[in-house]
Amino acid sequence: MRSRFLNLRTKAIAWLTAGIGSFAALATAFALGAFEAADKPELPQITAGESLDAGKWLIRPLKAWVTDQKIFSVTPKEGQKAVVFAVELMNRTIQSDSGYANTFHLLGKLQAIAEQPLAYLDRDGSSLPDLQPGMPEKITYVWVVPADAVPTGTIELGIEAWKFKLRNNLTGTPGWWSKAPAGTVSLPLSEEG
Amino acid sequence: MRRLANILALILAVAVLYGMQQTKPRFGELTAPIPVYGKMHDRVHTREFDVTLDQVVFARQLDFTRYGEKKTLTTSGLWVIVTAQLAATTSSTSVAAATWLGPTGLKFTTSGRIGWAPGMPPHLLAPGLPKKVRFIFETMPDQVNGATLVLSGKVEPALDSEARISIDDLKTFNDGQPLVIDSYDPLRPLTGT
Repeated sequence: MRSRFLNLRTKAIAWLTAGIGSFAALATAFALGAFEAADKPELPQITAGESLDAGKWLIRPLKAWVTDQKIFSVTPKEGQKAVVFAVELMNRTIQSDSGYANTFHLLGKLQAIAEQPLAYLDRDGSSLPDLQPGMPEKITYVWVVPADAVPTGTIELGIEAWKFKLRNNLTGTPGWWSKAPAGTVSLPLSEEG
Repeated sequence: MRRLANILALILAVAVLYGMQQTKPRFGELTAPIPVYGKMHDRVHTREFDVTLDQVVFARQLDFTRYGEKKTLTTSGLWVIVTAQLAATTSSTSVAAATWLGPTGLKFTTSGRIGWAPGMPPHLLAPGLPKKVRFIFETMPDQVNGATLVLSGKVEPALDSEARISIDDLKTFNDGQPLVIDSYDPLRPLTGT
């Protein structure tokens, strides 16, 4: 009987040592920065004319330019310029949707100072209308930024995408959740359209 | 023998429970709207309103004059203009949500590109005062035959009735394509009460 208890005890000690030991090993590796050296999943980068599936939207960037003239309903003030980004978006969901206002954001030093972009439908200049499923439309995004902060040469935009979930945890209905970066757009930035 | 019977009973119980778990209705299904099916030109009764779908017209573009400014709304698909009569049943109500449900399940909500106009949703209804109204959708040509108009008071009518009217009276050509007019004025007055 006693020998059996002893046996159990040694077993428990062995298990605990193994468990604590592996946690200690992981912690050491983390502290030494082993995980930072691991390959991060690389996000796709697209440019004019290339397509990318980004959650709800099929994205095809067209061009980007800078202007100080009125564009749709935006007029840059003195000392400001408008960064304009033309893109073709197709709604990949099954219903009309207007949730594309925050799909793109400026990267680089503009990221901190730029406000939310305004988005217009190219056909008639209506502001952020619903896009119908399966019907591609040209959309123009406009950021108003200080004139001296405008980058030269190329512009980089980050793409954010929602993921489709067949059943959400609360109601069991399908929907789009968990916003995450899906890639970047790199476009030559021209003066005026 | 007894032991075998026990094992069989256990297996059977597991199978029954698994089946129940898999076929359990989700929250979204339990609180889904209650459909009321109907045809064009019939009076369809829902809990809060009655609806009679009079006419469906297809147009390539919408032309109208607002505040002295001529506007043309184009589309890569078709404009669908639905005229209907609405009447509240017992108390004042509104009809806010209309969806053009295509034969493949795509859901097109009423277009917001026209802006506010008389006879456009949301429709406020009072009992005893029937109204003639318009719903305008943007859709694709292949989403016309076999479509359904879905009408409800709220956008997500949980456990409330919702009218589902099949679009069965269309002027079509021999190849099944609908008659599409070149231009439609969405501000044209609706005749009748």
